Amino acid sequence: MKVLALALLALFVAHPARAIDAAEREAILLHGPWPPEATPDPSNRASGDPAAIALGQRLFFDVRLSRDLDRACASCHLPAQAYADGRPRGEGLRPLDRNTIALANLGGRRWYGWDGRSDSLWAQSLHPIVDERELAASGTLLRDRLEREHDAVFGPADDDEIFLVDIAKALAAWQETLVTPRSAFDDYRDALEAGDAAGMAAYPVAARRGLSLFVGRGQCATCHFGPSFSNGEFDSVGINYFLGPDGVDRGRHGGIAALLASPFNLLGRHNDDSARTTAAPTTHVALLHRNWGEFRVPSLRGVKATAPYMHDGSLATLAEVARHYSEIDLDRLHQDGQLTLQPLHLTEAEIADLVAFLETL
Amino acid sequence: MKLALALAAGLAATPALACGPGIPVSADGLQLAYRIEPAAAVGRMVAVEVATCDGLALEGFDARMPIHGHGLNYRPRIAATGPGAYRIEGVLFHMPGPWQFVFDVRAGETTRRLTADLTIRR
Repeated sequence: MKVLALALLALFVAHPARAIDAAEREAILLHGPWPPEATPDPSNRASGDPAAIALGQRLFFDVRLSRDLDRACASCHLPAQAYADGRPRGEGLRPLDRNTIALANLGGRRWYGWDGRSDSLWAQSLHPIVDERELAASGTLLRDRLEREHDAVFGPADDDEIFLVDIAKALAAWQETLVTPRSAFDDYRDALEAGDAAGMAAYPVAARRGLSLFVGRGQCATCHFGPSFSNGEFDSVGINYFLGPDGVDRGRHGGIAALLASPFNLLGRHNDDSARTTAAPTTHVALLHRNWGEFRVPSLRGVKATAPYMHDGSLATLAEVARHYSEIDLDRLHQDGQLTLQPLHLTEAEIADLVAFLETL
Repeated sequence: MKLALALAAGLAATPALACGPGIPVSADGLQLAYRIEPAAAVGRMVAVEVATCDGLALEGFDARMPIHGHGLNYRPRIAATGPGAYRIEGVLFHMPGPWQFVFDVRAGETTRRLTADLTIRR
């Protein structure tokens, strides 16, 4: 009993920012441990294979993946910028509509892309290769250029489509290895779990206050849930989804439609897992009216390095993101009854605390 | 603490109804029991096993978060697995917090609705 009392006392006095009650402690611990255990993707026979990983890494930087031999995946996913590009919206052969997503912690997700149009990392990796606005290549073109490298890892492909998918699977196998390192938050979280007062005290005071806002009054953790700080789903958060005077980005609504029409989804012939172990979300996903204007709830791991933010890159800094949610315009949320988001009316000091916390992830 | 979490997720051993194991749900003399497999967790696709009493037929199922005004992002499918026994596939809780199961059962000539509250905490 004395030990328990001392441990509880340590929790309350360990950090000058504020005390921690049981509910807040539990909410914080849910964001770890980190890193997660790496598990191969059963839909991708190249997942975890060293030869395929090495091939995928080489191809990521190889302009032979582009029709005109002038661009590679790394032209937009820049290693020095967390595999994003720092622009509001991507620039391929033509301007793109959305922010270039940073590449990290990609293994094991249900959905990929801002609209979740892919249910595997290999299917998502295939899109930019064939998109006319991006690399504008094809399976036939890649086969002409890459057959020797491909066959050394996968063996001969029966057709060009399989060849294309194999290349995407090698790219995915390498991208799965991109994992953000442990952060200052992880050290704090683990110290909290262990009752290590000295370890907890090493965490910046402002970040600790921001963390309380994040898991408490801000309700950020309702969607930015778990060790990856994302529930893996989609939401409408009051960001414009019109594209100029005549266009609209359907977001998740378009993503589900594209997913279900795609020959590359997990219900199709390219899934290497005959048991369809990871295909249940695709089987059951519902296309709903409220999916209009919904976009991915992004992971916040490493978020400091991935500005600008939101699906269209319209918010330049984390402080702008915090202010957006703090003063969110409920009239811009077209869903009925989305009561998770409410204006918080944070002070500038609280916004600074929230940013200080996010920068420790 | 562990017991509380298990109860919150609807997983704890509960008194069995005569019609089947699981957490009992009843209203107006109608009864069923449900259990979630595997353990419920945010982001995990689970199945709900339902056992109905007195020959009730399970005709519909949904799950929703009343305080947020939304339901599931996935469309569950009901399959009969035996007399008064059903398995509902495709349930994924995408947020922590209070959820509500909605069971539509056929009782004679009418369809009646039973609801069960549960909290998903992790």
